[in-house]
Amino acid sequence: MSDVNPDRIPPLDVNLDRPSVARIYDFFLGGTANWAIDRVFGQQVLDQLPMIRDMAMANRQFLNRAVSLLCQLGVRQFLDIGAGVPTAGNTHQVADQVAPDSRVVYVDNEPIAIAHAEQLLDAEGDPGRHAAIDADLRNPDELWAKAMGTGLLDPEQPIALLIIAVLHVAQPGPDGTDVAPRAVARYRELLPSGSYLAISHATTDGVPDRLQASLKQLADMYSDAGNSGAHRTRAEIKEFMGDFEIIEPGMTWTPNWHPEQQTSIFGHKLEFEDPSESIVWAGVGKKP
Amino acid sequence: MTRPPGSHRRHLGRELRHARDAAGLTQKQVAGVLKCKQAKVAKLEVELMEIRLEELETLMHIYRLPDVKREQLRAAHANSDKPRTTANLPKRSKAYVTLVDLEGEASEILSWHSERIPGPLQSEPYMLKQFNLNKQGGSSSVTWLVRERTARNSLFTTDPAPCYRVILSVSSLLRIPGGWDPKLALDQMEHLITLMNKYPQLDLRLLTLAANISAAVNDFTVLKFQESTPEYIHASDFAYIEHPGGGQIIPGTKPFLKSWDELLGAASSRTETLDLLTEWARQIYDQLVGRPSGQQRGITP
Repeated sequence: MSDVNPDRIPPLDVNLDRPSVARIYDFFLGGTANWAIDRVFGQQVLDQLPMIRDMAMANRQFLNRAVSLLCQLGVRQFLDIGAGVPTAGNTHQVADQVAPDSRVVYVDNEPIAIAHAEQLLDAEGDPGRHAAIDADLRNPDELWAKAMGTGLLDPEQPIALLIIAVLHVAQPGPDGTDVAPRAVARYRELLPSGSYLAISHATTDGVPDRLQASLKQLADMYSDAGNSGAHRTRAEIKEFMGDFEIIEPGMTWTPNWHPEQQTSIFGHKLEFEDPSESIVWAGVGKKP
Repeated sequence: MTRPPGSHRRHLGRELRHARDAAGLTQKQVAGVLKCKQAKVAKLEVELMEIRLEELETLMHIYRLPDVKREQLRAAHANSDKPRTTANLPKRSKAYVTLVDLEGEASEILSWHSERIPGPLQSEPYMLKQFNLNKQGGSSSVTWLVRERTARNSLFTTDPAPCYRVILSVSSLLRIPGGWDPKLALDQMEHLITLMNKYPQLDLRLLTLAANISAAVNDFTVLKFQESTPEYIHASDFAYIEHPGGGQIIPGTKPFLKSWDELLGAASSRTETLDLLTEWARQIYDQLVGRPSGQQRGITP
């Protein structure tokens, strides 16, 4: 489940000396799985862009709403790639509220994130329905084999593949070029018919001018801290869906995606003047 | 659905925890039935330790598992490999294992440390940094270490929880694994503050550099047990010390208790300790995020 992956790209790095994207996200969400190194960085970001907390919340709410709606549509299997450290409103917790027979496999390539996911499942997971595996988004066939190897997911039945707030983090292949589009295309092939793909991705495209300077600064701060981003327009983000049929309301800003799907995880009211201030473009596609 | 070979044992510990929850039993109650320490039940449930078949049978019996489930778990047990070991991690001494297994059973723990933070008080990155995981290990080692830390931290939540009394020299806050690192020091200080606020039974005292002691003695930990401690635990008071050759259990605690009293006499009160930690953590934090810090007490006199 959490064996060391020898073909890891880039080589394994437990990364104690740099803030981690996943734990900073946890800090913005008010979680407890973050370290001082993440809180210090997070505070510096907050000083520049106080709205970042609402942006993170809106993204998490999108995940929660997508899981909730997909359960209502009959999906019982979830593969959550780049799940990060467990934080408020984890996929299995939301799914359990709607579908207590749902099954969830968490995937991450970061050892601390995996250790925390394992620990959460040690404490509250149902071993017949939940697992966490160490695998890399950039190796789709290997990740898929490992996920199916848990015995929890039936590859003949629809699976909801969640790639939430992951693709805007650089995904370099062995030669340094971005392999995200190729990898996601391979997942679309691997998913059985009737499956769903949920994606959220930060962008500056379509975001109000007044935020652009702060976002540039934000990208530089993350990059300087060793967390480079991948820049995409909204049209490029939509391309990740390939020939999947994008379900209503289409690709949108996170606050606009099924706001009627309330989850009990957050009572937090977002303070955006316009949904585009959420900076995250998101949607769910269905494989014909 | 069929599982691939090897995946069975990974679920055994969680199955046992799940079954115990369903039966409404605590780890301590189960330990009473197995006539073992609670720490052992905790380890079995996260597979830090391998379970014997007869122990599995006893647990399945007291959890009243249906026959189908029992068959599944027996198969899982038969398929089990040895627990994943941590080739990259240092081997724990027998004395250390005794300390860790018994600390949750103690009525009182007295601990003195001059240059390091003891395991139950270490923050997660401090603990990981000690193992220099940037250079070696992998996610299985990290998961193992995180599980081991969680199992050990159950000494704060076990019922009844031991009164945990610790005196830390201020130098133990400055001696950071891998060399001085303000972010790691801050993390550790904030962790101590959180623990103190959360657990009233943690009586943490700082021995400042200004404290009037003739010399700092070597680190030690004393475990005290009540006379009512169950016989199968076989625990009488002891002191534990570490040295480069490993750990050592010493039955006579008297000289350690004398030394403890001297240190305690020179240490700050619990309230003063919490104030100092809060003040120093704030200073480091302000410095790191680039905020002006007001006039405050420094760590050195």
